[in-house]
Amino acid sequence: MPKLTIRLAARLYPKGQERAEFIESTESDFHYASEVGVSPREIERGAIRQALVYGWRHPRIGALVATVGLLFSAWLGLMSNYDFKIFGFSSALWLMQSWVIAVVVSRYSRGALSKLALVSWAFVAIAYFVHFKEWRFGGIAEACVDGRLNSYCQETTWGTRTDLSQIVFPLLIAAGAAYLWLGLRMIQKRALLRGALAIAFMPLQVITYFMMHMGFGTTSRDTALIANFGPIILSAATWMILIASAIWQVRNSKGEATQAQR
Amino acid sequence: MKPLIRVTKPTLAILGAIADHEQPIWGLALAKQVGLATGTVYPILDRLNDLGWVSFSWDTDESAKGPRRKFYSMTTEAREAALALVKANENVPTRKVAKIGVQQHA
Repeated sequence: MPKLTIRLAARLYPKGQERAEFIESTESDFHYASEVGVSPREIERGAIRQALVYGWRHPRIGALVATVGLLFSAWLGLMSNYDFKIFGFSSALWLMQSWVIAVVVSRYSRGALSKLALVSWAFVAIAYFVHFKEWRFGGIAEACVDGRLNSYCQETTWGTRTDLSQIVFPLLIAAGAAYLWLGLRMIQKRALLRGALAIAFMPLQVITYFMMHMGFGTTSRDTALIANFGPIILSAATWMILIASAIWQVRNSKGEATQAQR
Repeated sequence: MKPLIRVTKPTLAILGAIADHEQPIWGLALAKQVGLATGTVYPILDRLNDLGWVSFSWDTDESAKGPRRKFYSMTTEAREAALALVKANENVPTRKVAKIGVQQHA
């Protein structure tokens, strides 16, 4: 019976042959380690690192991170202030879109997009922590609605609402730069579709975020409509890009398989 | 065999060590030979295997009492490229290795 740490690490491999081979080779390393003077502790550390690298390069860690992000975003959407319920749901939709994109894209890539998922996760987690504080504890949104902070709400523009909101903007820039960098790197490695998707994803995210931000404390019906439905429309656009790219990928892989058979 | 994009010093050390062996070499013995931790050696071997530079086989010695050992060997088509890559990078400082690797095999 392998050690618990090895069994846990092995779960990063898909069930089946690969997992069984990882366990078997690790077990044999433990068994014969004394022949080459390597300590069992080093073998254990090495096996865990090997599994982590495998999980990082394949979609399993990315998918795990993305799933946690999805649940987190759904929870935030449901917990948002009662006056901003629709806004909360459109925000949740935006986040779900981020995570599904991270999962779908990472299916066709290795480590680079696990990093993208992490960058994305870190970005939305901090951004939402900031807004969550406003909604739940700061009471700024409620104050805007009941008029206590009317002048403040009218004067403020995106990003200057609170000191905390200022954090979001450097983060947006950092996330945007990360997408751009990853996209360019993928294009450099001739992964044109993935690169283009990563680059296209950045402005979509930023525009969606700005649209949602318009909903804060607005008294204009038009602005509220844009804030609520804009992200949904953009989400739909992103989904269309995704579906098109998935179809393209499947066709491409079928073509490669046919060529290989020939 | 796919091109090797990221060629680091440990990758070169492993390529050199496997290419030097005519017979398949056990992963742990390889780690000991190149003086690197197994946590560095095995992920590189996995990557080289995915790219078709290295293949693995299982121990067929039926007299062995423990679990089967995993042995690694250089694929025939990769041996020449690996030796050329190692030779070209013999005197190159660590930070420049990856760039040269890309140029040679892209």
